[in-house]
Amino acid sequence: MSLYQRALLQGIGKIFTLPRLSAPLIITLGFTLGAVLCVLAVFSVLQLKPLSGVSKEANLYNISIEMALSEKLKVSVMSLKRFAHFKKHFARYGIWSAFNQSDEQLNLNDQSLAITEFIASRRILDVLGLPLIKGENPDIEEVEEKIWISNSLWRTAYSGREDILEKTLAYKGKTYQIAGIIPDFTAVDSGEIVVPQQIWLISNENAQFKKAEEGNLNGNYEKILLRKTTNNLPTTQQLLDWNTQYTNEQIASEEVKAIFKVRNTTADIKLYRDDLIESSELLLTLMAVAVFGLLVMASLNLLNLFIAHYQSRGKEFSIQISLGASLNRLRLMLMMENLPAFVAAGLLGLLIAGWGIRSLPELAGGKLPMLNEASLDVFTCTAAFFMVLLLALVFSLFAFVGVNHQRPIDTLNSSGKGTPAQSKQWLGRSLMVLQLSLATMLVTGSVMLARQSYEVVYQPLGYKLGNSYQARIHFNDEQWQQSLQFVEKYYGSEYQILRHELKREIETTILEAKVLDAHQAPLSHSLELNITQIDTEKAVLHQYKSLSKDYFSSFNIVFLAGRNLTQEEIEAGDKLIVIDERMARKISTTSNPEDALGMEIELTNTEISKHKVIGVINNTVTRLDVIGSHEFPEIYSSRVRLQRSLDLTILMPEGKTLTKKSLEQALANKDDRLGKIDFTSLQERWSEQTQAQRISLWLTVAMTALTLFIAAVGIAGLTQMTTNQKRYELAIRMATGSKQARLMQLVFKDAGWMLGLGLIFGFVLSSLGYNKIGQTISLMPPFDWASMIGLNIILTLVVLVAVALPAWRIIKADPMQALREL
Amino acid sequence: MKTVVSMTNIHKRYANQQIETHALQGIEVSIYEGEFVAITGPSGCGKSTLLSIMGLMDSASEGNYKISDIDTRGLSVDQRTQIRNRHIGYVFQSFNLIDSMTVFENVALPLEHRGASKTKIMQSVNQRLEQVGMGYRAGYKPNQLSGGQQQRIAIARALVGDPDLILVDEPTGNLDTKNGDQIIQLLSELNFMGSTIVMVTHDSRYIRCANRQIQLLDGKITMEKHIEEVA
Repeated sequence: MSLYQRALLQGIGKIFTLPRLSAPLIITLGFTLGAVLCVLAVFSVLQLKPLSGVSKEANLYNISIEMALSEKLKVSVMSLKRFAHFKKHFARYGIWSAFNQSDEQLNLNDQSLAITEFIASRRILDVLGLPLIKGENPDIEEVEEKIWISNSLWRTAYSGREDILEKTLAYKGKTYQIAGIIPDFTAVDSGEIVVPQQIWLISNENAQFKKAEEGNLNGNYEKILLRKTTNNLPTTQQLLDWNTQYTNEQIASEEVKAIFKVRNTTADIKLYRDDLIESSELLLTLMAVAVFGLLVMASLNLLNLFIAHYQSRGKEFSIQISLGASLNRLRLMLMMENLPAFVAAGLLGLLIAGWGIRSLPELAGGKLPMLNEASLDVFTCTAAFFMVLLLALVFSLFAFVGVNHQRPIDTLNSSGKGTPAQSKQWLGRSLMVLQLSLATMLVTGSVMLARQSYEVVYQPLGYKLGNSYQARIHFNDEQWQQSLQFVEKYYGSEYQILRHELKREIETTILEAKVLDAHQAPLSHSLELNITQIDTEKAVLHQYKSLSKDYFSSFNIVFLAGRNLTQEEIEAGDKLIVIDERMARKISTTSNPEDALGMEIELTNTEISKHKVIGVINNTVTRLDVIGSHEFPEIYSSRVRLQRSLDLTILMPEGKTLTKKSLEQALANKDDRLGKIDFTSLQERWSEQTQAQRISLWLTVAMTALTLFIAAVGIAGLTQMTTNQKRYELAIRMATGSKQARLMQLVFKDAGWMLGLGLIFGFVLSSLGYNKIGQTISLMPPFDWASMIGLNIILTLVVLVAVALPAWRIIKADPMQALREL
Repeated sequence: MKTVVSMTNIHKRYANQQIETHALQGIEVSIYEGEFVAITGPSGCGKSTLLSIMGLMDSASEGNYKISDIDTRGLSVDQRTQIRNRHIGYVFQSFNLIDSMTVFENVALPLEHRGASKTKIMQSVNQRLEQVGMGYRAGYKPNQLSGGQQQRIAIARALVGDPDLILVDEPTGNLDTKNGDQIIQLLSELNFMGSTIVMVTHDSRYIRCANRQIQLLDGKITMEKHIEEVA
């Protein structure tokens, strides 16, 4: 058996016989490699793999024309009608198509299936380059009654039945003929998880030319695609010019024109892949920095452990050198010896990465596109192989720090008790200073992000969620829905009576249930925005909300000034409103809410009329997932405006639960023109809307804990090693009367400068680096000195404990026993 | 007679903080093929330092050293290691066997580092183990053997590569009298069979086994005599 084979076999044996070395290596490296491989798998999908469901991506462009409603909220202005005009205007550049995508549920054979719904224009397949698997191309005139399904949906829900085109599909209260099978299309950046079970609803934009421009910004196409057929592309200026021209010529509504006038509109044109991964690049970079930082930390930690191990084998290496082993031969032998443990760590890393990659779509919550495509592909496995090999190689390079290879006789003659054994500690200590600096930087980033997430998740909402529920009842009859919308006076209207009947049925059937006559609960899934003219120069984009007599008291919303409307005022349809503090500041020149009382605001929703402010409430948070907490001021009116669905807010006493089933039973006799019911509690909605922040919070807290743990293990290992090497000295000191406390003092003094240097370097680099990064990345929260100081105190305590425990174990031993053993 | 070792004006200085120790001061030594040389002297006189330089385990601060006509000045660590592997066998006072390896594996190390074939290794190792009377312990680990047995293994390891020179540092220092005598007897037999041996010892009883005695005091040769003359 050759030396290398023997080394390899010894390495396999040492996994089991030397657990104090192999266990930290396999576990620490395995976990950090797992995290690194997850990031690499995502990188591979985003940067290297062909886009799923797209062919010839070099000619595919994404165009956006968006209006900024606030600093963070931008909406596409491309309605169906606008797109029809747009496409005609820019037809010379190639083939155009557009789509919108959303998460939906499909009820099939009494089972609910999570699907992705695409609403697209007719030539979507030609633009994406998707080949039709079966049926007819959606590029037909009569598309209204037809639906296309994805290959995965066909295979999973219909078992790939050949007669699929003879089937119909009931979806959202309508029955469609299945017209074709389309390959899965998951290369979409939408902020939502795109599943391969998909349905496609096609809109015929040609029909839009005949329709009037409503100026509605709801349901617009979010993705406008161009399959370029010429060498030219439209410029952003051309896109903006078209938008201005269209707005001026086609939109009749002065209100919509006013919105376009006051809001900034931007246009952009990018390659589809660039647009797809643009928003992910920053997140991916941050993830990469974090996991590679952890890998470096873990490697430094393990390197210290290995250096200690190598130092204990210094004599063995010197014997080999004295017998004629070249340094490179010995390094190679050591690499072979270490390789099994590194390979085991690599395999554990791959296992963890495999699990992590499967969990990524859920964890990322749609923040990164195409995560369903991520897998342990050739790129990821090759990267794992090379990382393991590289680390094994690097670790073998440090084998001779405890050996004087110029004079191996020194090591052979050394007893290991005196200074020679301690002479190379500078390396371990330098690595530890580096590790502490890195730990400080990583923990700084993690803590700042964790704090930001914490502040979102645990922010004051301005109300209590309580035990409240929201029911959304869809309309089966669109015409009826539209007829309900236009009423002169809300109270006594058909719509109000319908709501009242539903309320009565629920309150009669479900004991102790209380239904509010307000369209939305404080925490909402939708946002109703209007513009109001304060004076000739100032227009304010605000939320429009409905109130009821008991709306504010039910959610503990505090009045800063004035009062709510009485039932009599509501029923009389008096033009009275309640506003929030933000709106009060917009209309009043002072910061005193009292000053806004009695002022009049012109509401332009159905008719332009002045409404008098009679109350000012505390600011509340409406929707957390798409807008900032306090972006749009609020106006509350007694008029409950009808949207595309009828929403009811139901309050239950504490301890009582309302289920969807009991609600459906309560409304079993509802009007047939009303359709399915969506149902959620506000607590669930809150969890859903803060999911990303909560995941981010837990991830950053876990990252902080892991960093502190790795730093603590590293310090403990180093202290164990250095104190062990000083055992002889310590034993002599003890034998000559030195107290244990004095010896601990010596150990702390020794660790003190490492800690000090590490923290100072880390502190300086963190604050400089953080500010530098913060200037380029707006996502980063501002640097917080209090958190930083608190963090350094925690890190110091962790390090002191990590120093004290192993040192004390050695110091408390009987000095004579230590002297006898050495 | 072929010169195996030729040392001219060898000096060795150790600098430790502000104190400089002049361990060897102008040593001039030649050792010829087939000789058994004993280097003697009191503790700290420089005899082990001289042996280390001879075995290329340390380098001289000044002077010329040739082994088997190879000038060792300016050689890299790996070149010195290679010379050690091919031309020198070293026996340490504390045996320096690797506990995790068997006796056979310990003895085979110099040949394995030389890249010898498996057949050659098998043949040479078994031959040398038989020569030192330890063939039956080939599969044992060093810590399963007595001190005397371990020293025999160390001698077999020094012999296995057929070196031009065998350097022995206090071979009986860690052994009792009986085992010490046996080891010296073994070294005499090896010398009788043609091995060139340089042995550092402070035990005057074993000097008589050598052909020549070199005595050091304070880093200088104070006496150099053939043993016949001493006797």
